[in-house]
Amino acid sequence: MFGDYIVSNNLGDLFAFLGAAVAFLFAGIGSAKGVSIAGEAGSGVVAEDSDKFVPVMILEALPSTQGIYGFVIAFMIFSKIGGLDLSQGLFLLAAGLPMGFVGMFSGIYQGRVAAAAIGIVAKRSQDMVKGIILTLMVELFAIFAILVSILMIGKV
Amino acid sequence: MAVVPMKKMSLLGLADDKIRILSRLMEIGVVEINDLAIEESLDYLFDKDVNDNEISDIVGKITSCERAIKIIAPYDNRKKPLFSVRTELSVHDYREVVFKRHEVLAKCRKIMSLQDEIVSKKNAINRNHNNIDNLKPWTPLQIPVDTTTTTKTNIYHGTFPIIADLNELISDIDEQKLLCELYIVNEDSDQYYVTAIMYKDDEKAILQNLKRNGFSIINFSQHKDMIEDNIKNIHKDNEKLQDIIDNKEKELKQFSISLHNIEVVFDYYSIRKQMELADEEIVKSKRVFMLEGWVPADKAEILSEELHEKWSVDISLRDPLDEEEFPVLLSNGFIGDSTEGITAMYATPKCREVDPNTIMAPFFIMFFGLMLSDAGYGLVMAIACGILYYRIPLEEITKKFIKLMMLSGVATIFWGALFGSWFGNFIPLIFLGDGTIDISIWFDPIRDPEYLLMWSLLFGVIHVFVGLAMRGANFVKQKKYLAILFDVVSWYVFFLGATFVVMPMVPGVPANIAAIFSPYGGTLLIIGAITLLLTQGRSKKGIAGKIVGGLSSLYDLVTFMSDVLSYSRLLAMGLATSVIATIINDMGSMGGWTIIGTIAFILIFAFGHSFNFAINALGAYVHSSRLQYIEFFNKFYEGGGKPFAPFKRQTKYVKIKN
Repeated sequence: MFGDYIVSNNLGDLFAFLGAAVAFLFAGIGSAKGVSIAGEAGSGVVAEDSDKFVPVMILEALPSTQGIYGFVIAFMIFSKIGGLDLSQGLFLLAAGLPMGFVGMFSGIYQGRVAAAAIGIVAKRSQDMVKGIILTLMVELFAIFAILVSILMIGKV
Repeated sequence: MAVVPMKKMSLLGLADDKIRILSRLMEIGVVEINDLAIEESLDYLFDKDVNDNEISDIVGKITSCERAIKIIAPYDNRKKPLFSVRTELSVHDYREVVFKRHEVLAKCRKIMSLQDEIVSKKNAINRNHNNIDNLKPWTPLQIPVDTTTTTKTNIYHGTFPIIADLNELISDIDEQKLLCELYIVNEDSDQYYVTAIMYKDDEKAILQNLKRNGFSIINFSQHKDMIEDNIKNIHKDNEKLQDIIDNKEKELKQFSISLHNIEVVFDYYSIRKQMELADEEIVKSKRVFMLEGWVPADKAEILSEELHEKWSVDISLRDPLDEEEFPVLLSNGFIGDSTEGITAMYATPKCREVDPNTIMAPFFIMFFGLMLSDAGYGLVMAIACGILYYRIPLEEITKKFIKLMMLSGVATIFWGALFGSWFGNFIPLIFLGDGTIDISIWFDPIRDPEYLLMWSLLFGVIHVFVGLAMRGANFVKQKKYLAILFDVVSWYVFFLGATFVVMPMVPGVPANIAAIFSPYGGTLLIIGAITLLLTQGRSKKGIAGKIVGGLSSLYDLVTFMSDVLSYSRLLAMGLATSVIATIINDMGSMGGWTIIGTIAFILIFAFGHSFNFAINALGAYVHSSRLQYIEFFNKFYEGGGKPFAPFKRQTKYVKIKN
């Protein structure tokens, strides 16, 4: 009887939706916060020297990838939705978690590193690449998160 | 693919020929002049020029040209190209302008004085505006502002803060039997503007009362008559000032045709400055001078022949000594030199190190393509950069970068076609009527991400192994053959063993292939580990040191694993591009194929794909660079060489053709 309830009310799909929501929600928050941290630091540098706009912009854009990854995961979960049973729905909810949470924290922390790297650009713009590399170190974990999420979705 | 070999040139020439020889060296631009120290024993003979005065004089002229260029550049109507290139100029035209350089400098001074006048007039206008702002609240005042006294009364103008209670003040003054009248001329959110007319005898007491309530007197002594007339006059004054500014700006505009000449003169003085600086590095006596510098080995003979022919000089060339550092000039083929900029951002190779560019470039380009992985985007990139590369004149550095982007675009087409992504699912959606049809040549990573994950990790293993091979190449160059066995081959065995051991656990690896290799994994791993244990501590002192060194090297297995895992970004970035591209198409086609729906599709398509392309191309670029810098370079690359900086005409605006 409970099984009928689940199927007739599409609870599987509901959990899958939750998974998609979690993936984008938190990853998006992380990116928004990260980009804003870097952007605030960057605006100060550009105010002093507008020639540094491009390197600052590149560094500022780096923490935006978490949001994009979250978007990708949300979309991949969407494409699975339609008559899922409860266990599949819960699987997809679980699959959204790594991207959501790792995305949020890595986005924020990457934003902080990016802001510090903008400090490098402010002093020595020729060392921008070193700043980018330091910032990308944080990115690796967001990449692992999207991978784990993708592989989990692939199993449903 | 190599660091160009250099020769050290010592040149002894007659002092009379010095300027001409230096100019010729500058023209050819293949010698890096070194600062030559005078040997103590020859102290009495030789001597070095210090050209501080000349240089500061030249720098002054450069600065005034620079300022003049900055001032008139906005008036210049010539079309500006997308990428700024130096204009080419024949020697004849160049000399003609240089001949008139004093005239040009006079023009610069004129331009600067015009600009100074404009600035001072603009300041005056600003001051006037402030003045108007101060006067405006007083416009309702009905008496001339310079009337401060009548026979019996004195008149004061001033402000009260808005919190002051004027009614109470008035009744206060009345109670004290003081004769005073307050007129509120105006009020705004901050203060009252008040005129106080008071009986002369009561002035002191009244002012005390007023001041207690925050009255601050405003002095209109600079103004006469009615406020309104004053404001009108100031406006008139401003108009006059503006006219002057307009005239001066017109004059400035006329100078904009001289912009080119000023730029040439700027470059002329830059060249002069370089000459003076080079001159400081040369040792000279009364009759001769001596210079020393590095020349690329293949150009050295020709150079020395030419100099011998033209002047009486003594030139000796020699190879660098064993430990001597020489400046690094790179020479790579068509593909190899495209990543020279990427490597230079990390570090210039040392003079006795293998130049990584030729090996690295194909990896960079392939990884870029794999991460952007959309044939449509690749097509746009390859065509745009191709046009730039072959049709538009570009400076050397920009040109190499554009070439790299063009090649990366081609690689993107390659991978995009393999994965069946042309602007996402654009082709199946529009031409086949169903966006879910798979048109990939190889396979579609959205459907089978694990398979691509396996390939990404495999590319990682290959890249890291090539990095180890580069380490071996460095050892060959340094003739440390035993080190190849200990520091390269043993790692190969060790890492290969590790790869075989994990193979069955990696998703996407076909079981039959894993079954072939994995049995050997354990053996290789153990052989590798033992070799490393025995050899990696060999440079350490004492038995304990050697053992610790050997053991700690095993920890590099973790580094290797994380290096390889890092290549999973190839999959992640690639998927992000194609999934978002597909979403854009799906969103665009939601409106159906009515007229409005089609227009919406076109708009969403154009905007969405531009955005997706921009963000992912940037991502592919930085991540592809990172894979080189961290995973590849740390296997072998030292860097820290000094780039070859030949003594040549370094100009900003014009390129002088010989």
